Amino acid sequence: MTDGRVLHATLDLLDRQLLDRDGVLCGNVDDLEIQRDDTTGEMFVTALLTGPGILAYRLGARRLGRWTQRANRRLHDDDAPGALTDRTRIPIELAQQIGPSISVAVGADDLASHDAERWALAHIIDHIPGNASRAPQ
Amino acid sequence: MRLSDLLDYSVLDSDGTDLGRVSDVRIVQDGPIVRGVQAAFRVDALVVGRGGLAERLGYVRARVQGPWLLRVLFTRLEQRAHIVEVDRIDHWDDDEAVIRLRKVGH
Amino acid sequence: MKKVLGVALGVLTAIGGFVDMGDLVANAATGARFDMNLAWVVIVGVFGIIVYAEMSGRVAALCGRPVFDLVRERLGARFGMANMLASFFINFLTLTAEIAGVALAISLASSVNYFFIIPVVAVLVWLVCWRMPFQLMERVFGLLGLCLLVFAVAVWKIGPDWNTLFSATAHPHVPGSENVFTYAYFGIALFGAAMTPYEVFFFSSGAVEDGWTKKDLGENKINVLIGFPLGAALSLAIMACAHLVLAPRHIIVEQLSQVALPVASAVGRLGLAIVLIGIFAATFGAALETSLSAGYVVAQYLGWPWGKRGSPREATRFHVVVLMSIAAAALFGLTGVDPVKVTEYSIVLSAAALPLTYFPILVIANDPRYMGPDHTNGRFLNAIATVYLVILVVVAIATIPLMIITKGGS
Repeated sequence: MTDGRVLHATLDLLDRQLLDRDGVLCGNVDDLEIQRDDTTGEMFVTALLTGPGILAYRLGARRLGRWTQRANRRLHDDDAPGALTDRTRIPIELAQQIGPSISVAVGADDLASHDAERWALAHIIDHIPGNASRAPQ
Repeated sequence: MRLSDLLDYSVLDSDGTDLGRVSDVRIVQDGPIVRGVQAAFRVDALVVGRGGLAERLGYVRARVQGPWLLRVLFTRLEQRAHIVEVDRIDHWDDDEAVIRLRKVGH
Repeated sequence: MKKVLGVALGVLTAIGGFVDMGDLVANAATGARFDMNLAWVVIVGVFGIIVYAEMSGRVAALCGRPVFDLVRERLGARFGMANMLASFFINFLTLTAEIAGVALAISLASSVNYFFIIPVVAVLVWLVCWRMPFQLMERVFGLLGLCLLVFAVAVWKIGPDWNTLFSATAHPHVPGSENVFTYAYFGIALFGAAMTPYEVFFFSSGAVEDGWTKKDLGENKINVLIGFPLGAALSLAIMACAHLVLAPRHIIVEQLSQVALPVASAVGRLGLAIVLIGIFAATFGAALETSLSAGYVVAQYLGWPWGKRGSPREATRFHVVVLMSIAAAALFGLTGVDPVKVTEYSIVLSAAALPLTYFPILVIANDPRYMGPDHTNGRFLNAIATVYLVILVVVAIATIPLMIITKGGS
């Protein structure tokens, strides 16, 4: 074996907390993307997957998962394209620190996993007075 | 393919023995540099077995030390797992979700 | 000096915060039915919560991750989700019980109908969750909860024969009027009340919110090691009161007012006023903790932003879950469910669910990847922690059969 960091997918990556570039909690690693090269037989982990539909797919609701992902993509077609082409897919090279949590070099708002957070802000929290006050420490 | 798909595969030895399902994937970060940022995450081996929960706890792979009772119990369960290096894979049967291995030493 | 004051305040908060609706009901009910024959369970329970809280506090301080975040990492998404749903449900029962407790305390003091008070309590609980700073919230209700020390005063005023009391406590047996199943069932209720899991969700999430680091580990140990045993002593005082006043009159605790009765009879009107303030503070504090825990459990499993440190705008889904949980618990309370029964079920089910969160924390506290090489559990702690794991598993297995056999302890 060549030297290089050794990780285990389910032990070190799956289900870890994701932190965006500003340290905002932005979902868990719900699944991983693996690419298999059938000619060389090599496989690479190429992306961390997180967001609507991904967890459902992983838990065995394959169809529901795919449908949720598609519906979500359609809903957010008009969103200004962020740094990511697929908002549930974070290329693994953007994972900057892998430990008890995983820091990624994207903004939470670029991720589909954060849509509901913004929805709750716009439709519920924003209508309640005092929502912006930070408790004095 | 997603990891969750891979975890559905059963692994058959060259003589047809069922070794169990893929339960984890060992990754070595020594692949080619991707986009000039960091080395690619190469899948080096599959962890195959029936340990279930035991294999998530990391008593062997993450060198968790204690407590004694749990270590003894889960180390034994986790060690039952087979480590199958990726170059031993002979054939992917994607319809059946089966991975067949080639003979060792060939 | 400032540091000493901080530690003292922390310890006092831990004492006052130890007792909640579950402890009030369980200790009074067992004292009335079993005298001091189940007191040993409170002691076993308090050492259990010490071990559990110390580990989760240390884990939170060293890797900055709270309990439910780690539950999913160790147990996987599927088992983790089942765990999350179970914990959320039990926590919901506890939240209902606490809100009902606050409403009952106010209703006893003001003679306003309990059902009119529930919605008011729910709004107040939510307002505090929405606006009040975390530490202030913890301190105010923890310190006010110290009013419950009047139970100890009541025991002293009743002036029992101390030798008899201590020897009865030290030589437990199943009383002749009860069978071994009800004895075990009430034992589990007491155990669940002493080791309520939401306390640990709250404790570890608070540690992350307060930004604990290695430096805070000493204070963590002191709070837990001094505060919790004193809290348990307070629980035993409640039990002793019931044993001394209610048992001889064959009063079975079916209402919260009966919990306060011994204090009223021994210390008088002032005593009653103080105990009602104490019950109010203890249950209100616990209502806050369980409201927030509802949010913690869901948000931490799903990786959402959570907590009270920032403004609600920075943890929107978390605050929505907290708000809806409070509203749902208040509605459940308004259906007329018996608050004492809800409390009993919540503590018994809490006991049954304990291994689900205790086990992953025990493994993580031994994992050098999270803790660093120097702060994993020591051998001594691990030995005790393993004994508790076995106890928790036995309790979990026994709970449901006992619940059926004893028909919920009746």
